[in-house]
Parts: sequence; C-alpha cells; structure tokens
Amino acid sequence: MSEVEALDRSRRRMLLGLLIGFGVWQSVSIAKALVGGARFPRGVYLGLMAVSLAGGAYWGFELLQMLRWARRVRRNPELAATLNDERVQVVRLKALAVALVAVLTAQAIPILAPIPAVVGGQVTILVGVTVAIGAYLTLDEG
Amino acid sequence: MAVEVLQNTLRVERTRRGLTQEQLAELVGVTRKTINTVENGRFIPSTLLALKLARTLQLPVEELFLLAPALRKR
Repeated sequence: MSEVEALDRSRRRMLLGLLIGFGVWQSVSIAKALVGGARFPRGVYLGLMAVSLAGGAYWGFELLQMLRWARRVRRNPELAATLNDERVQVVRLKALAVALVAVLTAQAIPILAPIPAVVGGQVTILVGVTVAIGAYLTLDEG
Repeated sequence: MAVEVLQNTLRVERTRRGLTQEQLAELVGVTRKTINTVENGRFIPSTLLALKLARTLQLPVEELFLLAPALRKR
C-alpha cells in the first residue's frame, strides 16, 4: 500500500474516532442536562459520567492523532496536495453545506421544545460537528 | 436542445496500459478514490485533472472524455 493510501485510510479512521468520541461525550452530557443529574440514581449517574468522560478522552486522543497526522502531511507539500486533491476539496465543501443545513434545522429544536439555552447551544455544536464529519465520511466513500 | 452526459474511457485505457488505480493516482498526484470516482462517473474532474490524465495516458483528452446523449426515460 502506498503512503498516500495509508494516510488516506488513517484519516478516515481518525475522523470516525472523532465522530464517535464527540458524539458519545456530548450526547450523554446533553441527556444529563435535560433529565437533570439529581434525578438519576447515584450508580446510573456515575455510569453516565464515566461514559461521557470516556467519550471525551477518546475524542481528545483522536484529535491529537489528527494533529500529528496533519503536521506530518504538512512537511511534504506534494503529499499534502495529493491528500487534498480536488475531489477531497469538493467532498469537504459538500459536507460543510450538509452540516450548515443540519445546524439551521436544529435551531427549530428550542422553538418546539423548551430547553435551557446552554443545552440548545450544546445541541447545535453536536449537530454541526457530527453531521459535518458523518457527511464527509459518507461522501468520501469510493 | 439535446441533453448530453459526460462519459469517459478511463478504466479501459488504464487497464490497457496495465496500471492499477493506485499507480495512475500516483502518476497524476491524486488519491486512488479520485480515480475510482472518475471512472464510475461519480466525480467529474476539472479541466486540469482531465488534461493531466490524458497526458499521463498519452491520449488526446477528447478520447478520454466524451459527450454522449443522455438516455431518456419513457
């Protein structure tokens, strides 16, 4: 397998890791905020905290990996150009467009269901990040 | 006005030269997936990439990419 192919595959794997980590971390955090932590039995609450923290830690780990990946690619301009060829740039733009629509749609949630403003903000970020990464991974399949 | 679609002979010309998608991708400086999606008609390359592909395969670009009438649904 060529270096480009290996780096392309590792990019997909890291993005999937970022998607799962961030999704778990923020979803559990939002669920806790909506239900109210005090309403959970202590064991359930601690379990949710552990799952949320594990998701956050995994997201942090994958983010560091992604930064290392980006630094390695930047050192070689030819490699960087190949890994960000015109199809990748189109896929990235389309993924951002899909995420924008999703974020705008998510703005209806606080209107339809009365939730605290902070949670509304968290939902917006969760939708924006996960839909952008998910759309990229879907559109990038080839 | 007749509706036309872009078709290409990339897969045929590449295999005729005994190249894999990965090898062709390396020669033109793109990822393997880009070659795959161009071959499948899922991605329409820019003029620059089309010219690079034609030059690498030593073909006139109009032999690699051609306009064909679109099939109409009845």
